[in-house]
Amino acid sequence: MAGRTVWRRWVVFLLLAALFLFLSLSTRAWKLGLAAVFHGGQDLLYPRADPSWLVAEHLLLVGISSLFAIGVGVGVGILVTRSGGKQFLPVAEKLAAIAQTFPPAAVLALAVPALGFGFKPTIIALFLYGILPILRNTLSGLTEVTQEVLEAARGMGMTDGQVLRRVELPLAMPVILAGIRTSVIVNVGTATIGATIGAGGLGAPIVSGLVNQNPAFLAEGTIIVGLLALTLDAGFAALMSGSSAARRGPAPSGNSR
Amino acid sequence: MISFDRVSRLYGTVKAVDGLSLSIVDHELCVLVGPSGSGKSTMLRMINRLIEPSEGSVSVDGRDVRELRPEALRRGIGYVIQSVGLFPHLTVAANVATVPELLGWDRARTAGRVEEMLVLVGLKPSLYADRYPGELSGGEAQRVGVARALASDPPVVLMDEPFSAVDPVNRLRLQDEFLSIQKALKKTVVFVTHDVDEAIRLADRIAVVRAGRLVQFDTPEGILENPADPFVAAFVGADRALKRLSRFPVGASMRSAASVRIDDDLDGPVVRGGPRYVWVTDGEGRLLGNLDTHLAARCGDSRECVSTENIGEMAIESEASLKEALSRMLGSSARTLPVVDRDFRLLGEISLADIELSAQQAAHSQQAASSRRAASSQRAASSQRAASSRRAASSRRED
Repeated sequence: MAGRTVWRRWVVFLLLAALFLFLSLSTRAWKLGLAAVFHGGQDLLYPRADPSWLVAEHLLLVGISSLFAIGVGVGVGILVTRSGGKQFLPVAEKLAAIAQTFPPAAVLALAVPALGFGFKPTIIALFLYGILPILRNTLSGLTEVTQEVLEAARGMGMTDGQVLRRVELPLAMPVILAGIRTSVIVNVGTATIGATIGAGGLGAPIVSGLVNQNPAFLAEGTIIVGLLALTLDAGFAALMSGSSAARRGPAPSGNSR
Repeated sequence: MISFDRVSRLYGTVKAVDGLSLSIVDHELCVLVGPSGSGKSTMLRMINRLIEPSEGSVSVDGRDVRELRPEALRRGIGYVIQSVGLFPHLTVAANVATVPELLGWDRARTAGRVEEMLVLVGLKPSLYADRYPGELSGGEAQRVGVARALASDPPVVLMDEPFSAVDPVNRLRLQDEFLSIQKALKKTVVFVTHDVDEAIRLADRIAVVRAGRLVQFDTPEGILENPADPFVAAFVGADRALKRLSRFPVGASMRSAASVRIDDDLDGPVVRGGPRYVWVTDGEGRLLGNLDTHLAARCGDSRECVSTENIGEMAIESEASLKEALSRMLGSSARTLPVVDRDFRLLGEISLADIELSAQQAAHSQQAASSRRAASSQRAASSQRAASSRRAASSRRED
């Protein structure tokens, strides 16, 4: 049964990915489709860049910021759950909570005077905004591993690194992945705001459409962003159902959880 | 040999372990027993350095455990804990393979060993190897825990209340299975429990612990016969004599029984002159019932007079303890029970008088043994005193 859900999720992901690729690569399909819906002499397709270029820029924004967010989020999460870093655990939890109360637009506004316009401040804003769910889930995933399992691992002669790699991380992985999933999906949407300070990406036709009152531009940007978010979400769903299929059923009895 | 030399462990100002000196002989199963919070688990964990002593030293095979890296030390010592602690993300086979993999065994050797271990603890490899811990019952998980601890064939195995989370029926089964494994492998086992019955059932030697101190260290028979102080007496319970019976198998005290075979011997009239009651078996020697020969003489066909009532509850396996036999006698009105093997074949019989006799004999031999031990420990103590005064003298000279 578990095997079938995994399979189905991969199919959903592949279908969405195919549709997304088609729409982001085929300029002609867009022209035909938009012409059928929108009339009135304006440009139909955002003129300053092809959809494929916008997608590439957007993926770069999300990719770079998410990679840093994963590295820092997971890294800090691991560090503060080690015996040496335990005293920083409450601090890390607080910082992560504060980071998400900032609206991303505010972070962008603050980043512009410090870093100027364009790509870099957008990435920093997205990075800061993406850390929280990853850090929070890494912490809860790692602290949920039971004392009995840890004692068994140490008692059998695993070094601290082996306990982390062979026991703690695999057990926490579904929770950590869920955090990464939230972070990346949110970042795909948030990255559109970057267009307001000239970062490009799929936010560009949206902003331009709003300014020029051109609904065709808006449709181009929002449809592709929405599809990108759905595709990535389906990808994570497929990935996670594969990894958590390994933990069928509850922990054995006597394990008070 | 595992030895504790004046070991203490402090938590703040509380002494969890207080001046423990104890030597555990190779190939013996030593049970540390005491009420909860008495420090027995702390003692156990000092052997594999999960806890370090505040004072004194622990050594295994004459080597101070601090000479080895903790990881290297632990890989050479099997470890089973109460809640099993199986890794939920790994299959049964991968769990059992943990220590061999840490030791860098090659794949084929590890796989072979895993299979061997699963068979040893009574789990069919084809059925269990690929399951996950979440799919096991408590008893099965505990067996996997034992298999995992034994996988690298360590000479020493530490067990911290391994069977206490299992229901009583399964606990007895696990204890029996573990005893037969131990009989074959002859590991040096240190076993922690708060259950006196478990201690008496399993132990070659029992260390009774109270408030971090060793109160008595003796064989189960010795502790039941001569509790060192009122605490030990209360702890082992007022039913000491009964508990002692749990150490003896029925098979060792039974006598041969008069029996007849239903096909051949009951064809004609039963021969008079033998005992009044005889057991009746089938052609293969399997127990069917009993027969009152006086009554049988009056039956037309003796076969119809064979009583099969309650025979399943009366019959006792030869591996069962005298305590169980006694309990069966008290529960039924029978004063003599048939003893059978696992296939229900009649081996002999045991009576209340046999149990009494065995208990008396055991008590006598125990008294003799304990007086011998008392004499030898006095000798040891006096030689130790002499040695320490010599040391004191030599250190004064060095000053």
